[in-house]
Amino acid sequence: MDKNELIESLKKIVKPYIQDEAAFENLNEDTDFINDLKINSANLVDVILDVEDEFDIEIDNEAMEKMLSVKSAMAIIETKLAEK
Amino acid sequence: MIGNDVVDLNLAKTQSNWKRKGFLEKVFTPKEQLIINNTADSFTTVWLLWSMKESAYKIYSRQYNTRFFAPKKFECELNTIQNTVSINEITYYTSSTISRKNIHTLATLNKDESITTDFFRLKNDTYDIQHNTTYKNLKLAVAKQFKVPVTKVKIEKDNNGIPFIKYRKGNLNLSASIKPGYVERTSISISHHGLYGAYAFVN
Repeated sequence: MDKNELIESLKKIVKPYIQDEAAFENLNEDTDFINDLKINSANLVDVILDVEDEFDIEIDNEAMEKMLSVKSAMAIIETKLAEK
Repeated sequence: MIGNDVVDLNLAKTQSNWKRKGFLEKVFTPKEQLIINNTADSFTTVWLLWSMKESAYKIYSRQYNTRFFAPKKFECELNTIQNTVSINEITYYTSSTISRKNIHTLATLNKDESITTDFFRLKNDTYDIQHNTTYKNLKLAVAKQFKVPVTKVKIEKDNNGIPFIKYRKGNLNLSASIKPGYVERTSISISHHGLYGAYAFVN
């Protein structure tokens, strides 16, 4: 999966939880889930569970700590997929 | 130092599904899961513990200038006298007001900090109204507490997205040892969710 595909699938995952449409339209690697997309922190749990389901990976506590931006989510997904 | 967190329980019902597979395990320690499963009102307990963790996280992230997402690292203790949240040997004191409609939790590092706090219902639950009303009310309260004109009070965010207050002391005391210009206060906390907003700051 290339970077663009990965961003697209992340975009689909976060869509139901975003509270800032403009930031969502401009979503890129530097987008922050909370500060930019204004995702409620309880919904960040849903994002993490959705990522687990979508990519069939397990996001452990250590990885979860960093799940605050598109960039770190991409890195985590890539690492976990490579471990499979 | 302080942190606060608001939960609109009506919104929480539709916005999050705490019964979703994996949700409790990602957020709560085994001990906390036991508390949740053994209470008559699991739903309210989930959000009470959540708001305690959030409030404590707000202090911790300011204290150590860090950002992360690890709700399970913050372990809640419910006691009749004093609720607490602990992480890495640090304990925060929390107090929560719970109604059928909402929860507001205030966490402090020290037990006896003098705090100004308010909790209010918003006109509607759009992000702009939540944000603007909460900021406006906080500014008014800061102006009143520190006796400065409200137009001189500014709320800004640092690189971690953590808000702080800045206000200009009037041009009084130019000769005094206190430098004129901006005074910064970092012990503030803002929260809004659904139809409710709240702020708190150390006096």
